[in-house]
Amino acid sequence: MQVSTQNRNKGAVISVSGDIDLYTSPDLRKEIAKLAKKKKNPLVVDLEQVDYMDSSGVATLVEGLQLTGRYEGSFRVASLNDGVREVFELARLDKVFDVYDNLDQALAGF
Amino acid sequence: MRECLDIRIPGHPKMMKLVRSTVGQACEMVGFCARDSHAVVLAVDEGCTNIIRHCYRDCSEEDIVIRIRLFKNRIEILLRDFGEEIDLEKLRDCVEARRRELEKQGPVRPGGLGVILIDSIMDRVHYKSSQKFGTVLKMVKYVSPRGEGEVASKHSE
Repeated sequence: MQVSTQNRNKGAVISVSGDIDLYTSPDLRKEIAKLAKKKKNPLVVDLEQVDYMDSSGVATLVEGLQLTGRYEGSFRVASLNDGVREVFELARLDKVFDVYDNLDQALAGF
Repeated sequence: MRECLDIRIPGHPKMMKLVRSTVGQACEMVGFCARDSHAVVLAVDEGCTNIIRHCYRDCSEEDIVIRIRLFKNRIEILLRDFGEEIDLEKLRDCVEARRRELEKQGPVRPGGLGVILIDSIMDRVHYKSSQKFGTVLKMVKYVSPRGEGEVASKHSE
């Protein structure tokens, strides 16, 4: 898994590629925590290049949601492929996140 | 057809990619559609992840044994760990409590999603645990008759 971050005004976009699983999710968790500490708003996680995600990936995103919620920031996820979307649905968390079809939509208004 | 494959891996997260690849190919051999294959791979990943995190507490030298049985109409996967005996009644209660929590869409918290995913995906899930032999998780998934995703139809009901 690779993680890269771009600042966008007061917000930030984390672009992830590869697999998000128990082995790799700590790196994503660290990046989210670092940006949440800087109170980035919105904090967008772009999953377009993610091939696979398990529940540790979902849990990492839930933590992101909680961290940004502390400063009333917006936490958004963008560009989920079918497999990743299904994990959200199976975990019944698809309604919990602000999910956008693509990055442009996720950044609209900011 | 009844074919069987046993693999033994160290209980380390970095082995999961290898497990996913193997299970994915086994699902293809049985004839699962891509969606169900992905779901079975996810369930096995979650089972192994739970062993590493909860039985081995992220730092074990112990192994996980994975037995994959291929049948004409189903796949059976057994995961065996060598950790301490688990309280199955407590596990069932935790799963039910977590499921109710998610159904109510209450306050979101990160943990306990793996067992929910396993339960949602697989047609049969059975745990057997003892002090002497550790825990065996048996999971069965049947091939959907018309090739439609079982997971999808289950979810949309």
